[in-house]
Amino acid sequence: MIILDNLRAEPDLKQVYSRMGFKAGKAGIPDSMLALVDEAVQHGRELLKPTGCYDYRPIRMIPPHRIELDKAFSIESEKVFRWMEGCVGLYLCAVTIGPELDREVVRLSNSGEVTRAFLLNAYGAEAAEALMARLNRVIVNSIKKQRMEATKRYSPGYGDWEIAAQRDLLGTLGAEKIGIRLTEKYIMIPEKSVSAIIGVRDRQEWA
Amino acid sequence: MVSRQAFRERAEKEIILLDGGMGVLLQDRGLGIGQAPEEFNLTQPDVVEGSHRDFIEAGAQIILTNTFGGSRIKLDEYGLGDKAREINNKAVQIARKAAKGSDVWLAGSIGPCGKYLKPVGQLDFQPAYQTFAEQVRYLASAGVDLLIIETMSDIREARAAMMAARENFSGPIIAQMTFADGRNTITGTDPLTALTVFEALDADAFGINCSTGPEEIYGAISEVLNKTLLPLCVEPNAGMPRIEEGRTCFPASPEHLAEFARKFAEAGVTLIGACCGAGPEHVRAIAEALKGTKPVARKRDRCRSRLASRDRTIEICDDQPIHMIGERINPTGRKKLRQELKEGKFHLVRREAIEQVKSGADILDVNVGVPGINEPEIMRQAIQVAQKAVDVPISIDSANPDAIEAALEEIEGKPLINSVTAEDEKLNLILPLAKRFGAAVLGLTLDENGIPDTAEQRLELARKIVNRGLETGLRHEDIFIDPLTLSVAAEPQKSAESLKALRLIKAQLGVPTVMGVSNVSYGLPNRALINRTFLAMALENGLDLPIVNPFSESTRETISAANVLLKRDAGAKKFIEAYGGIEDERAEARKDTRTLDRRLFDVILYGNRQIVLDLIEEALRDGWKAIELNEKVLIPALQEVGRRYDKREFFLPQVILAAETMQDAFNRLKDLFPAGEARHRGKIILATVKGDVHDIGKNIVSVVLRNYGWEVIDLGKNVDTRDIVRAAREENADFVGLSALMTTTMVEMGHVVHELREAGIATKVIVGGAVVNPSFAAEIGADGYGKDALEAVRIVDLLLNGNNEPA
Repeated sequence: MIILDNLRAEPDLKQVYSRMGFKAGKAGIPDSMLALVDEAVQHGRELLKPTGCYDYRPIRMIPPHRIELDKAFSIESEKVFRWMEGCVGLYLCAVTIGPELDREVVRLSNSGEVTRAFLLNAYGAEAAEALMARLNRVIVNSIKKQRMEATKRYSPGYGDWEIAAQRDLLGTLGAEKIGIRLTEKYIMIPEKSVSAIIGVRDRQEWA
Repeated sequence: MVSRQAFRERAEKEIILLDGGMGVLLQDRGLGIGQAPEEFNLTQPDVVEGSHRDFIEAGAQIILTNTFGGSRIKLDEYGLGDKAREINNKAVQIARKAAKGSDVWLAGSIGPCGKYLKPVGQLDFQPAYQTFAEQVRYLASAGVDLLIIETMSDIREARAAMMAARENFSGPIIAQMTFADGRNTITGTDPLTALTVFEALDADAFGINCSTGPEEIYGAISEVLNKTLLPLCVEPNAGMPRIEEGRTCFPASPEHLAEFARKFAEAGVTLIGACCGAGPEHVRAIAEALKGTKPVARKRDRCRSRLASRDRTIEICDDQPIHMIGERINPTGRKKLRQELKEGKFHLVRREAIEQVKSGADILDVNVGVPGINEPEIMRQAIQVAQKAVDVPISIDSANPDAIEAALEEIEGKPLINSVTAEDEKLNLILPLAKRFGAAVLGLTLDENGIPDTAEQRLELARKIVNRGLETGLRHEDIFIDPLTLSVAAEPQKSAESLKALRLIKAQLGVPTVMGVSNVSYGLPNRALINRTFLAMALENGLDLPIVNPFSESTRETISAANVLLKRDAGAKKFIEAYGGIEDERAEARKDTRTLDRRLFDVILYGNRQIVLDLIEEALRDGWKAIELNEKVLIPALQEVGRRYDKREFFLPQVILAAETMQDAFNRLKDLFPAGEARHRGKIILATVKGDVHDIGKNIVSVVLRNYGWEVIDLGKNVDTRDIVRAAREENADFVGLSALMTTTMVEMGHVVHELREAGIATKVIVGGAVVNPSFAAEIGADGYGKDALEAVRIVDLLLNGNNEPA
């Protein structure tokens, strides 16, 4: 399992503003809110502690809908099966921006600063997505170097892949090494964490 | 077993080397993915023994038994729970065999039990404590020299493990936490807080291991170097490959670890090892680097007394700012609170906790003493509610030892027990509780004969309490004293004596002092004036922790000023921050020449929280009535916000900000409405359902609804269905609003609707949250579905007026 602690999690600010509820980018932010938005972005940046990890597993595709990694972990999902058609292995990956931002959101909320909490939360959510996108690129580069092809990433909870699969995914990956745990209802802690699988298949066959 | 004394001496005289990471080594030697390393103690003891030998040969002087995941709850994950005794026993035997002929010490390793304790998870304190106690007993009877609790990330679990170890093992215990990003554990605890808690629980050494490489651990341990004289221990990870510009580097190579080992030693750490990814070659490199290195003595800061919450430590000392203990959670003279507690409800407790901390309370006093209730159970729940709502240290205020103990089991951090008296019976009951649970204790200078008249007599009682505390094994810095105040109108002599008593106690006993200042003015007019003057006098006489009403602005101002005058606010920095900036905003506002109602309208519309209160004051001075302001300015402004949002000219953050500004205005005005005019449109209960911890959306709805005239009872997050139903029934609410963000938790909404109907409660239910949609709402029988906060408001209006279709 490889841990990366030098990934950048800076999100595209247009996405951040959008997630905050403003349309039309920075131009769409009213004057009365500019200071608060900038503060949230600045503050959010300081609170980010991004890490990511990934690991590769060979798989067996077993029709009609089963992907087997090892005796501990298999995926039962029509959609994922189709997504991963032709794959010989999977990269399991997970990222987190750490718990500090979430804790600050709670603290702000509890001190009656709901607007600040909301804005900071939006920044954090986009940062986590950006971090996963970055890790995705690292993994895809690695796959390309091996002259293979990568699928788009897929996460538990999408389509018909049950959210409960998070437990197997994170457990097999060993994501607790970067501080990610799962509650009994499958909420990741820290909250701003993302997990996914990326399929690896032979380039030739899909040329 | 090694004696605690011998361990302490050795760890001060020399640098002791621990081993590396067993886990990766075993994986290289055949441990399968998803297999418990502890299983090898039974199936491949030779491999385990070989690994121990390799570390010993490399220079390790303490080896850790292969029992990191050896508690029953953890072993149950692999179906090995019933082999717990065998596994722990075997592990020690194997280690002893490997250590034969050397003078290597065996450390019994205790890691997390694999389940989260409440409130994050579902595990209670007792089962966690029991599983650790069991493991400790196995390790102790198998004959380890010391114990090492490691890689703890949840402070409450760490407390359970440490208490279990201290009570079942009389040898040295090293206690360690792991800090996910180098600064805080994943549940929020920082190194100083972890140290504070473990020190109070009588650990023999404090350490940091795992999660990160040596750089981050160096940063983390630096925060505590001058905070304790306990030996310090570090075990950084190795083997975290990084991809830099397409190249793969291994920053934590043996040489890298060795270089940091020297840095750690120079900083005064004397127990040095390594964790995940570090094999014998890393240990060898560290041993080489540390050869002949002498330990460096550390100095400890003057400030010794500390209290802690889950993620915050406060230091109590005469050069630290004065910390306020918020006194409001106390049923004496508070009818509504008394009533709620009798009914087992905690809305007021939660609100008072949040509001007091918002107003600057640094410590929260929690008192639920109502005659006739089950105080231990109510106290337990009150502590849970308080800790979920705020993150400050708690002062457990009770005369009932069972209630105190229930509270202590729930505490995350290091609390203050308020209080014990100088009566022998009380001392015998409560001091041992403080010692066992690692709490500080507050002694009141009174005994069977009541409160003594003179300061000297109170000093003697204080001395008795301190001595008895020390005899029980408490540390001097954890014994606080309150010389007590009485009403100056009723007992004029005694108030002056209280000030003198503070002086004497400070001078002769040197312990932190506590005192309530509200009683002194009882029976006199203008109580605020007497209270703040007495407070200032007490602070000058050595009061460290006043027990106050944090909402009193005059109290806050007195403390701010006292901090400057008593050299507790360097450069008056905090004072200037608090009172300086307001001048600029006010100057800006004075330049605006439009009419006041127009200005106020815009202030609400554009969410200018800095000056809204000034404008309200101006309006009141100009003769505006609160009711007029509300109806002619505030409500129209809010309606304009809604209109602009509908036209997509305003966006959600602006709605929230306007709502918060409106809230500030309304809070100022609400007491000025004629009685009976408190215009509540109705009552709504909000909650994020059980198992779900997302609450931003709910918080936004809460603020907006309040401003549209609703009385909102916010139960918080991860709320039991039972509690929601009970609240709906008892509050006679018009609506229940539920929030859930996961497909796994939204089912709970259906349960709530079901339980409500079963109980014959007709309260309407609205649901919201990212995963919820109109068809789900209809399916579970909800009365409405709200896409966002404003829609939530519209639906409640609609439904109240008789239109019963889900939106």
